[in-house]
Amino acid sequence: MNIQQSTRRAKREEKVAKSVVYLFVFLTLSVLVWIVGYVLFKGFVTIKDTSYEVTPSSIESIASEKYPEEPYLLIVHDKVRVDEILYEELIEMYTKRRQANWGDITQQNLKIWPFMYAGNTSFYDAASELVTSEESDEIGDHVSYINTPEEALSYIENVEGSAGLVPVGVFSEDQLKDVKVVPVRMVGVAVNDGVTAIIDNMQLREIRSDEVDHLFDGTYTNWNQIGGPDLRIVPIVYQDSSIYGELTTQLGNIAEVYTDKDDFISTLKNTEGAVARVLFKDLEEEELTSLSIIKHEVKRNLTIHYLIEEPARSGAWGGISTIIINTLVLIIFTLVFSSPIGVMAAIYLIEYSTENRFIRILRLGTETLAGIPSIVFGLFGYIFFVELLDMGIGFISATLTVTLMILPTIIRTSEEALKSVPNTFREGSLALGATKLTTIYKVVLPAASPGILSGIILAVGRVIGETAVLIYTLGSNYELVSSPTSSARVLSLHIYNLFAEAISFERAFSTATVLIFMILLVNYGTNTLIGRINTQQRS
Amino acid sequence: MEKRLSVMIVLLMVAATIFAGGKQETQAPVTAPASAPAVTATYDSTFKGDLAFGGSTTVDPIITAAIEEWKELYPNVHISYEGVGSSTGIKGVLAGTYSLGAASRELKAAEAASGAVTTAVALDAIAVVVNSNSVSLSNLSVEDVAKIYAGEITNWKELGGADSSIVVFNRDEASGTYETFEKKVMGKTEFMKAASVTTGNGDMAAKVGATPNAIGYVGLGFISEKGLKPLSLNGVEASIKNVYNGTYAVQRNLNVVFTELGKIEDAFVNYILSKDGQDIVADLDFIPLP
Repeated sequence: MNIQQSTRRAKREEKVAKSVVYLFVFLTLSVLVWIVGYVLFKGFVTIKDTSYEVTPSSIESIASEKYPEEPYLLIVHDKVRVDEILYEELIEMYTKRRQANWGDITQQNLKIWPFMYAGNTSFYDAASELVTSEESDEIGDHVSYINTPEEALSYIENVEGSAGLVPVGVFSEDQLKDVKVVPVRMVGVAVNDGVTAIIDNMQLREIRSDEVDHLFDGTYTNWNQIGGPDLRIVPIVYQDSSIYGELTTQLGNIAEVYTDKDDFISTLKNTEGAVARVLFKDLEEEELTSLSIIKHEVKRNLTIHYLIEEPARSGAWGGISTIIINTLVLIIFTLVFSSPIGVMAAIYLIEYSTENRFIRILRLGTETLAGIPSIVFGLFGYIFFVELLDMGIGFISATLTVTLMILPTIIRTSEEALKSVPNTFREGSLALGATKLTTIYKVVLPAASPGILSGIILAVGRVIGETAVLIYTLGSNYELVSSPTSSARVLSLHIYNLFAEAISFERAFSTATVLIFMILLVNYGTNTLIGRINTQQRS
Repeated sequence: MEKRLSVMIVLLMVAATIFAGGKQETQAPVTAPASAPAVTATYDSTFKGDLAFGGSTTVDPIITAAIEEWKELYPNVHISYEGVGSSTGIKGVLAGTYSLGAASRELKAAEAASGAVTTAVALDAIAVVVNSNSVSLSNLSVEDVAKIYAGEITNWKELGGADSSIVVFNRDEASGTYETFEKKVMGKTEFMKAASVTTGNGDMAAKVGATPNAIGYVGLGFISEKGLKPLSLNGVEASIKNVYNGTYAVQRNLNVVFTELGKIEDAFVNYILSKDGQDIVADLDFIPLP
């Protein structure tokens, strides 16, 4: 009876202990999965609210006022990663004095080469009216001229980064397959001045894109419902044969409809609480007050382009190709410097030295160095290599400093690996008449190699993740490293710079994702390598 | 095992082709249309060499973008820019580490005495920003902002907002933004000691954007960061237009710093001051010289 009881108790205790262990394992794992998952999620997907001057609704065929019956399409070179364009951007593309760059729109470092029709044709009249505004009415020098719309296709196909307007119907859909047709976002929300007045330190400036319709369909009746002044919402609508006509069909109509434009504009300007959808061009020309539209955007973040393009504009444009290569080069060179020295030091400590005070101090020294924060190595590297030896901020200073930093790690792990080789191996080899050097080279090192390798990989992990040391020794230049003294940037530094200078959080996260995958790859590679060595030695 | 190894090799090869592709993409010459972009700066084909510039992180985007555009004219000149901060940049210029520096503040007397000279290349306004999700106010008087930073006003309620205490963020004393803010907003009032210190415009934007009831100040180029709402000061919106007409008072010069301009550096500074350079400044949400 007693024995049974105690057995049961023991079993129960075991169960409790087991579940506690499982609980902790589960907690640890879920925290890890959560962290890595969060970074990866942010790396692959961007979710953000962006404020625009125009609503999200985009219009594919746009018509000029002069020729309202002849709408145009915006076509763009296939390589440009653009899905839709703001009307403002279209005007800028043509009228900016300095040639515009797709980077501002799609973050790819590619100059915009727009085309325009030559001569005094109706094509020129219509297209030039569409791409200029009252403020910026001069077409820039970088715009190329073609004679007929038929030439547009070959121009677009041949010039990277090109864009331009072609009349609807000139090309069949099959012909437009290799170029992109890009819709234009050109509708703003104009309000009466009183709506955006500052009252009690409060002001209505922005509105969410999904709320815009509610201004017109009667869901909202007073501006104070969305944080504005206590004014009735008065929706008004302008209708004509061109684009404005399309706008009115987009809403369930409780609004007052106008067919005379001047009448419409003056009503908007003079009626308290008035609101209307207005083309961006009219918004500017009539100097209307408008609300910014906040659009909730979900986009893909890390793409293949990010990996293969060179960075530009402090990392705001382009990708990280040169930075990835810089990281690999830094790893390779630190390993070239540190692993022979580290492994040899470990061999000396284990195989040759006799245990005395000097060795104990040496061992204590390496152990302490392994635990010193990397920023201390950074300071040392800056003072010693950069300033005292006058190597300057650059690749060589960084390599040497990082080498010093990871040496203790390599020495310690190699020591452990060598220690774990049984003494019978050495004795057997020596008994067969081999010299000590041969014994170490042919017997001890191969047996210890998996341990030594994992130590080196551990060090690689530290190099990949290192930031503090490199800020002061490697610099921030994101070009491909070209000489020992050239300043460079690696992935971890890039993340730091993107964050600290508020260049782009999305880009910081996608860089972090690349970093995580690099470490995964390194670890997987080592495991495979160690596995191979083990099976080879067994056979 | 053999299989795993071959998988690794394939991966490596894929990576190699990708990187090779990336280089090709940037080298592939664009079929250049007839008209070349207009260049106003004078061209000297003898320019070549490696140059190191460095300084303010605020001016970093301007200089970096200018370098990248300028590089197209002078492929033999290679320039790097290190964003190390205004003070370190000026030190670097005086020590000869950098042949051109950049500072988001004016020179101190000691620096000017050591031979440093500045030229303004752009203007910047400092905007007072609040956390957009929790602070309903859109306008404050300069005196009220000073009072918040002096610690005299501690609750948004006192200014007509919700009943919640104000979380104040400040910059480090070495920052040019801090100095300008102190001069233009605080006047003779002292900063309170309790404010949290942020290390840069980006850091400030991130923290104010993420902290409920927070207030801070950033350069005009940063006001569209996530979670930020720029405040009007005395009813004047922080905008380029208002900086030009002088109604928005919290503004400063962004400078390049040098002791003596070499030929190439001189051409580069002229490029930033040219129409092209000033267009770059405007594109980056800074304010071109009037």
